[in-house]
Amino acid sequence: MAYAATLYVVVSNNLRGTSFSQAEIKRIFLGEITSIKTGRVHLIYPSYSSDEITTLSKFVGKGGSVRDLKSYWSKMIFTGRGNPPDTAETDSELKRLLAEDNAIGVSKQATGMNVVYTISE
Amino acid sequence: MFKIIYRKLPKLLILYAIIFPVKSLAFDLLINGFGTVCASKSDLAKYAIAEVPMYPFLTSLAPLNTGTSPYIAKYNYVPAYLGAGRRWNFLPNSKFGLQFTSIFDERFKAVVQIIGRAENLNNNHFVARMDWAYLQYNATNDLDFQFGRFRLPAFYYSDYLDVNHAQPWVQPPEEVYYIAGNSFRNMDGIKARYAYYFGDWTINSKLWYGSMEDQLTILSQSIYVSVSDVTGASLQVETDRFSVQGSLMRAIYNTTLNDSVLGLVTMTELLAGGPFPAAQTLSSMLPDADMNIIYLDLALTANITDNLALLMERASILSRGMISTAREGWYASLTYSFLEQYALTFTYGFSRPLQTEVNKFNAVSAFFTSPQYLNNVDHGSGAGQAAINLYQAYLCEQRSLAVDGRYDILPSLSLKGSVKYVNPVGQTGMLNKYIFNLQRTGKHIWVYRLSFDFVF
Repeated sequence: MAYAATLYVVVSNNLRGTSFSQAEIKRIFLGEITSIKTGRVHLIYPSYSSDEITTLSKFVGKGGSVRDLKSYWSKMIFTGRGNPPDTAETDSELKRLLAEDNAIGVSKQATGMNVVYTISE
Repeated sequence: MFKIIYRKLPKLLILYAIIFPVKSLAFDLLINGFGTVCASKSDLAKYAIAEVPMYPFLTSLAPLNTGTSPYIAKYNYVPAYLGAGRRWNFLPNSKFGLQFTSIFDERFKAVVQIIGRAENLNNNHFVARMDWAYLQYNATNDLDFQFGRFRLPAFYYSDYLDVNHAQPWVQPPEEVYYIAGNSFRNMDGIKARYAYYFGDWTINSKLWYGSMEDQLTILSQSIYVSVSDVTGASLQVETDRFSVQGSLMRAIYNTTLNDSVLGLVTMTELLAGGPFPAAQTLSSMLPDADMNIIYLDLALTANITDNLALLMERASILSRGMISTAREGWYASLTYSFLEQYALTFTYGFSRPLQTEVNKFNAVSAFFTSPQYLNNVDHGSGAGQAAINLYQAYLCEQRSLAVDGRYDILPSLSLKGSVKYVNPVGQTGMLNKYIFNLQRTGKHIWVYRLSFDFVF
């Protein structure tokens, strides 16, 4: 599958420099990892109408489409397994949410962000 | 004083919210919800009549040999196939759910889910009930425990059975998901989940133990069935493109529904001058006390290509009890997705009784056609034959073909439609012998559904 854009996995300051494997990044964005460094993960998703969500859907698998990812999260939330992630509609909102400890999200911009992983072809 | 405070309450609440924002409390409170607005219709008749045998002397203190005959009561009902009657109806298959999640920290959270839906598939009473209420403890990222009331995880879609937005069909295939009727969806107890990851593979396991109780309505009579020692386990092996899941569950149930039938059998033996084989066989099957029931389920999913997905599932219930069932059902669904927002799902379903179920019917039939019953109790009223006709629900077998179309208007809102062809084999297309709401057409049935599904 072709990714719509290159995405950077960005984190809050307290996670700067932390090393994550591809498998760990996938599990975090699928809500399977809910705790990092004994703190709760604050997961930030892009808007479901953005380019970023298309790339993220393909990266995490579970069907690969935005619809599949939405269905997956419906299952996670309404079975109690997963905590619904926050949504960042804009870059400024993303930066505001990243101010919280243990926050992790995605961005098309790397400048000024704590990048721990790059999602690209 | 109370009135003054009441009028000022909204302003006080706003002031409180400013001074004490939610985040300053000891937990985060999240509210999510889901809903389905579904209209259903079938080509069944508008009205139907069920003939119910009545034995009035069983409820009176009259002497045994009064010569009183049983009779047949005509029970009027509106036939429907799982909520789909002759007229378009929104209520039976629509629902609305709210889920409140309190996250205390990375280890503890509490979840409550309230769902409003029709009380059962036979009436238009809409009620809201607390479906779930449990405390979850996350021991690690891979191991968690739930304590309280939660969905019985017997089948593949059990955990999110009511979240139709997350499913490819308008309604999940009843051959599996209504194999035990519309009851026993939730249990009270403890559930443990453990996930193990290696490479691209994930192994998910669950164990659960608890009890449950539900109220069934049979011919306008409400009965309670209690189920205890519910013990189950499931194992799922999955990758991004493939998964296999197997579940096994055992429980013990008790009910008093069959006491009156047992009384009829006992009285017949007395009038006939003693026990006889047909009565003894039926007597041994009737007491639904401490009766074992076993569930088995096997599900397979595969993303054959990026646009084509296969889902197959087979379920079995094994029980010798009268109120329960011994049946197997399975389905195979093929979903083709296109243009990112559309999907078509083709489903073939099949359901049939197991030999144990046939044995139950044979025992009922043998008793009600025995000369001891006919000569001493029935007196030509036809009540025995009416009882046999009702118990024929044990034997229903059906095949079905369905096409479900889906259009994702928004990521959280979908429009679906389905057309289903149900072909009963031998008997009616009614799956659930508890729900006497299907006319014995003996022919195929068309079912149409249209729904909006949403989550928020």
